[in-house]
Amino acid sequence: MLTAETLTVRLGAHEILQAVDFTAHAGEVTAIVGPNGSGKTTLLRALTGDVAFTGAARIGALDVARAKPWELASRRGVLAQFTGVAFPFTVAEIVRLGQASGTAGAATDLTEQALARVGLAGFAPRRYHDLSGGEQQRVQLARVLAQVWEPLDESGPRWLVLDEPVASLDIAHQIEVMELARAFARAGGGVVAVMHDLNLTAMFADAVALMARGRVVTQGPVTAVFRDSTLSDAYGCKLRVNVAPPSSTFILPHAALT
Amino acid sequence: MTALAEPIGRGGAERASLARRASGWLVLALVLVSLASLFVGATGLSPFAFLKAMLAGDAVDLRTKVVILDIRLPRLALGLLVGASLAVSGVVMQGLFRNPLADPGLVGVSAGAGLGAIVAIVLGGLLPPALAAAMGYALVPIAAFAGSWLSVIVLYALATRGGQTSVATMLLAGIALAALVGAVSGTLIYMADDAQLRTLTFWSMGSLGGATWGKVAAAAPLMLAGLIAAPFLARGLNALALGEPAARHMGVDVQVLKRVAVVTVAAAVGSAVAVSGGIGFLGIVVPHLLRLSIGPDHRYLLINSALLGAIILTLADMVARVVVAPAELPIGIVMAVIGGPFFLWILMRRRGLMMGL
Repeated sequence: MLTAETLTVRLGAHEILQAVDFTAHAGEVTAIVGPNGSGKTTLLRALTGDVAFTGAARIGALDVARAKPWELASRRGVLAQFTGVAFPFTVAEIVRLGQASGTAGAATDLTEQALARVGLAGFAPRRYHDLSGGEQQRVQLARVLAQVWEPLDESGPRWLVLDEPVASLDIAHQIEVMELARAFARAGGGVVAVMHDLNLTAMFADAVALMARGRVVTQGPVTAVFRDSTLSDAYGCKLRVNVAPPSSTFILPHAALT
Repeated sequence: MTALAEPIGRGGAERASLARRASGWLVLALVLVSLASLFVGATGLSPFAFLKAMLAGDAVDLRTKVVILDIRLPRLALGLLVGASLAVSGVVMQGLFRNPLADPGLVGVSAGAGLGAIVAIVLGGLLPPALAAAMGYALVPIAAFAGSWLSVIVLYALATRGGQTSVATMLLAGIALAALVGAVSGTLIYMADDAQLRTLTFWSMGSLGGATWGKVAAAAPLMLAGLIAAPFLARGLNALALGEPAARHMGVDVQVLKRVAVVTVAAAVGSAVAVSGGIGFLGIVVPHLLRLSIGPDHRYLLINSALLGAIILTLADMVARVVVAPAELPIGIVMAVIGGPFFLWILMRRRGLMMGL
């Protein structure tokens, strides 16, 4: 389980996160959604130990505030919204950095497998800086995957922590990446992802936490959280949740319906 | 140097084997250059006669023995250590600042060392005569070393808040500190007499001349410590190329990495500058050339930079010793005259492939 209890993050005089409680379970894809500036990325950065916070954050048995960087690295991988690379590394070299930092599958080279999982088979010898933005983001995802390759081992589940993993991807790769996340969860791992696309979230998330103004407004299964009034209040615009047969949910802005 | 002609953009595995082969060639080149430097100089010596005499167990004549063992060998040792230290420190600084143009000067080492040397040269006469006599020629190196450490400590303290060191603050504070140090140095130079100015000028151009085993013994431990510590930074520096958050996510204690990197560079460059004066150029060009040929992986870059840095400085010192023999050129001039155009040539050849560097 990945948990946050009364997590508060201050930046100067502002409380960016106000006593947030949050829980994600292994075996599930948990999405964090909410409008811009609601604190989604800050919550993620607190969970990964990147910002100072009061309260408690735990990944399995690890206390995020106290655990050593390498202890955390062996249990969770983190994909940021953007990762700049300073020197002319190849795709393979970057993916290997991920594998070298985790504890999973160190015996065999996972580069090709990890790249194939993100749809970049054959890209290993390419120079990272020659790739498009979407391809670069998928290389970073392959690196994170190589770090936490086995979703579940004797010490428990591993975690994928993803900040807007599909933001720079085309629709086919959005689905590919979300399916990859779901497969990781079904194999016993845990996934926490900040999402902007509510329809992709409805399609792939098992649980969702809706944030607004530095708080988690509500958390639970998608069908419980995605309601017209709840979403409309959080985002400050009229939204309608539709359920199409057999049971797929899609959300439309109200303006599109009139 | 055939490695330089290899195309870039190949896979990690091929680059790794290329890097290992490059190490082999560089070791061979290092041995050859070292041997050559022992027998090239103002006093012509035949390596064959020397070896024959040694092998036959004959007494080598005293003059040869003194030139080889007491003049050229310590100078060679110093050149190898200084060259390796400057090049490796360049790699570490570039990795730390995530910028291929960073050099040890950015953390205040060079400015501090320069100020120390200037203070010693200009104000050394104010020391109590007994102390000045006891320190002798060691005064300038000791002052340079102290100056480099002092400025590194000040910069590190300025850039560290709440246990976190900001590399960007360090860079900016380094510029401010360099300006301040420049002003103090300028004032002292203004006060200096002609003899002191001459000493200063030659110090700033760098030289391996006057190397003795005593000097080597004094400077070697810290340079060796830096050279031995550097390879342990390789994995952390590789991860840091993806930024501080990504490095942390991959299990690197970034704060420890920064601290060790800065201390390593201060130890290696502080003692290198103290014994050889201002030798520029190596710290940027050597890592750059190697990145173009074997890639940016620090596990190979650090070791190969040490080798290539040692080779280039030893070669430059040979040139410095022979072109105007029996006089000597300052090695800084040789480095600039040979290195500058060579580096430009590499840049022009690679111009189309420099994106992302």
